[in-house]
Amino acid sequence: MLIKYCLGFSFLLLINLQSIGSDQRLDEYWGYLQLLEDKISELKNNCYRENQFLSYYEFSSVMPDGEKVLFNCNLFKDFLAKEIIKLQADVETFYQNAYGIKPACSNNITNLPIHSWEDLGQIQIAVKEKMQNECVDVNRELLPCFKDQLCNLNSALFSFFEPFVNSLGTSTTTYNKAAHIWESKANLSLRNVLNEGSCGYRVVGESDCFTSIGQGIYKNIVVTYDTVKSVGYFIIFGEDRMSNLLHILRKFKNPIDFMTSVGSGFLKIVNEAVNYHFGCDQWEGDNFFNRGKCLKPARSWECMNCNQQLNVMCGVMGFVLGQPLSSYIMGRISGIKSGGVDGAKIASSQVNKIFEAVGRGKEWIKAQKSIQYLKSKAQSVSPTNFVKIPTPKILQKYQSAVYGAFEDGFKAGKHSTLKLGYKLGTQGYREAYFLNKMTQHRLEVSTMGKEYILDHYKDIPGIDAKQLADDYVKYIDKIHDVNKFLDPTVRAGLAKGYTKELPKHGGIVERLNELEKANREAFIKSGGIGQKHINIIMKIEEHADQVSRYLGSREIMEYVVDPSSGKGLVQPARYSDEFGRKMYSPKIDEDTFWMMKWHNGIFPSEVLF
Amino acid sequence: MKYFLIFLIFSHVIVMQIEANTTIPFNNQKIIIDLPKGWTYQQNYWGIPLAFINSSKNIIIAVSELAQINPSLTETEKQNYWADYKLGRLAWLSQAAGNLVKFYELEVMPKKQAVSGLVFGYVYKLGQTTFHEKSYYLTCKNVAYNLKYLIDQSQIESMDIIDAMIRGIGCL
Repeated sequence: MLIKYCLGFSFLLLINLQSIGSDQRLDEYWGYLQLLEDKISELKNNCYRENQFLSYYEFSSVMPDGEKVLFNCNLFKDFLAKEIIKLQADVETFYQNAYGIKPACSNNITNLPIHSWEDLGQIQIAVKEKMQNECVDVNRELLPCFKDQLCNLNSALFSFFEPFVNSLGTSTTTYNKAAHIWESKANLSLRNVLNEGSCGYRVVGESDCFTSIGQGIYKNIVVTYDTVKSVGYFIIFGEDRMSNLLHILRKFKNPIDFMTSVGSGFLKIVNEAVNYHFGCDQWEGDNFFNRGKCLKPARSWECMNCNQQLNVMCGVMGFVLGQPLSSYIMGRISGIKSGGVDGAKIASSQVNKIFEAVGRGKEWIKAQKSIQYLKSKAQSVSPTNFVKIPTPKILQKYQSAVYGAFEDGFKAGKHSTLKLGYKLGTQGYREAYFLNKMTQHRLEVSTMGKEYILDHYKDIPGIDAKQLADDYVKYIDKIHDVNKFLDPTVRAGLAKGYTKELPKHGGIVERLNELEKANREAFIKSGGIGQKHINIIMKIEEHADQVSRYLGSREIMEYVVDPSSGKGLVQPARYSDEFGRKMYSPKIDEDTFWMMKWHNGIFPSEVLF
Repeated sequence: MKYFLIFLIFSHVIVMQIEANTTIPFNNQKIIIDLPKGWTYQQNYWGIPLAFINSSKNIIIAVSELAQINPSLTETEKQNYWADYKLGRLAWLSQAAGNLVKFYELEVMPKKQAVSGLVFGYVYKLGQTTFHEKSYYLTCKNVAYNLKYLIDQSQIESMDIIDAMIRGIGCL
C-alpha cells in the first residue's frame, strides 16, 4: 500500500515538477525526490518477501558516496513516509508562492524570543526551513535594509530619551538651550515613528530587539540605577558609569549625538559579523577578515524580509550586549582607540563560538535534506537500538561548542559560558566546568605574572628573569592546579557546590583558598625554589591573583526575556565571584595597573562593567 | 550712623547668604548648598539624579543618593573601600587606554562637620589631556551621597571652589 501510494505520488509530483521549468529550488526538490524514489525501490526489493513486509529485517544499502549503511525496514519505511509527506507540503507551498497566491517571503517570523544558544539555533532552523519552503525572490541584495536598521535603532533611542528631553524643556541653562534644539529634533523623529511607512516605523512584535539595543546603550551611558545602591556597589560599578557619563558630557554637547553614533557604529560592526555568518553559505576565504567574495549566497537570508533579518541579528546581539558594546562605548569616550571594539572582537572569542555553533546548526539543516541525513538516521537504527527515535544532534553540537568555548575559555567572555555550563551541565560536565574555571584562573595568574617578570626583571642585576619566570610558573602550577592537588572526591564535591551555589559559592571559594594556602606552605617548606625567588614570586602572585579575581567580578548588561510577557529586557547583572573575591590586600600600584593593562590586551573581550 | 552702617553690612551679608544658599528637595531630604556665581543645578540631568552645573566652564558635579553608610565604619572597611576604588579606577583606566598619574591621598572627613565621609580621587591621562577626578562618599544627617566631578588640567584652579562647595553642603 505504502509503496503504491508513494510511487503514485511521486509520479504525479514528477509531472508537476517537469511542467514548471527549471529553478534552483525545483532542482532541489527534484533531486530529493529522486533520492526518495531510489530508496523506495530499495525498500521494495529488500523488505518485501511474498507480499509480507519484514518489519525487523535489516538491509545494507550503498550510499552515493560509496559508504555502506545498515537500514532497518520498519523505521526506514516510516521515515520515507514522513519525508514524502513533508516534501508534498513543501511543493504545495512552493506552488502557492510561485503562482502568487501569497507574496514571496510573506510570513514573518515574528516574536522570536531568544533565551539561549539553543533558541538561536532553533530560530536559525525555523527561519531556514521556512525560507527554504517559501523563498522565491532570490534577487535581493544582501542586507538591503541597513538603512531601516538604523531607523529602528534611532527610533528606539529616541523613545528612551523622550522623558529626558521633556524634562529638559523646562529649564533655562545653556545646556538646556542646546537641548531644546534637540528636543525639536527628537520630537520630529518621534512623530515620524508614528507614521506607517516612515523611517523607523515598526509593526508591533517586529524587530523588538532594537529597543533592547537602545536600552543597552542607554544603560551603559545614562547611568542611574533604579534602586539605591550601597556604597560598596557604587564604588565597584557606579563609578565607572559616572566617569563615562561625565566624559561624554564634557566632550559632546549632546549625548544623543554620541549615543546614536555609538549605536550606528556598533550596528555596522554587528551587521558585518551577521552578514559574514548568515549571509553566505560559502565564502572564498575561510575567516572573517579574509573572506573574499561570497561564492554561494545563503538564499534563506536573502529572502527574509528586513524584520526577519533584524530578528536573527537581534538574537546574536542578545549575547553581545554589554560586552563588546560597553567596550565600544569606552573606546569612543577615551578617543584613544578608534571605535574601541571592531570586527576583530566581534568575530573573536565568545561571539565567534556562537556563530560557530549556529554554523553547525546550519550544516545540520543542509544535511537534513541530503544523503548525510538519511545516513545518520540509518546509522542510529542499529539492531540493538532500533526503537530509539533518532534525535538531531543539534543540542550535542551546541554543547560541544560550549565546551570548546570554555576550553580556551579564558580568552572568551565568561558570563555566557558560566550560565550555560550550569544550565546544560550534567555532574561530569559541571566538574569539567569547575576545573576549567580554576584552570582559567591559574593560567591568568600564571601568564600575567610570567609576562610581568620578563618585562620588569630583565635588567635587574643578579636576577635571571627567565629562570625567575620559570620558577614562578612552576610555583603557580603547583599551588593552583586543582586538578593535581585535590583528591578526586573533594574535587567532585567542590564542583557540585560551585555550580549549585552560583552565584553565591563563597563557601566553596573559601575552602579552595584554604587548600591552596596549605599547598603553598607545603611547597615552600619543601624548598624547591630558593628563598630569594620565593619572596619575589609570592609578591607577584598576590598582584596577579588580585587582578584576575577583580576582573572576574564586574557588572554586565544581560539580555533577558521576561517569561510572562515575552518581552526582552536588558538588565544589569552582577557577574561576580567567579574565583572568589580578593583574598589579599596588596599594595595597589603601578604593578597592578601594568597587569590590568596586560590583561586587557590579551583578553579583549573582558569588559569592565 | 556707624551702627546703621554695621547693620546695613550685616543685613547685606545675611541677604547674600540667603541668596547664595540653595535648598534642593532631593529624594529623602533637602540638600542645602552654597552655589557660587555661574553654577546652577538640575535634577535628572542626562540620567544624573542631581547635577550641579557650571556651563561656562563645562564642569558638572554629579550627585547620587546611596544606601546608608554604616556610621561606625571601621578602619579596615575604609581601607577596603579605598582599595576597591583604586582597583576599579585602574581597571577603568586600562580599558580607556589611559595612564595613571597618581592617586590623591585618602581623606577622611571627620564627623564634626555637617557632612562626613571619605574622599577618593585620582589623576590620569587620556592621550595628552590630564584629568582630575574626585569622588566624595558623604553622609549628611542619615543619608549617604556620592558626589563626583571631573575636570582637566586647565580647570585646576576651579578645584578649590568645587571642593569647598561640596564640603559646605548641609541637609534639612
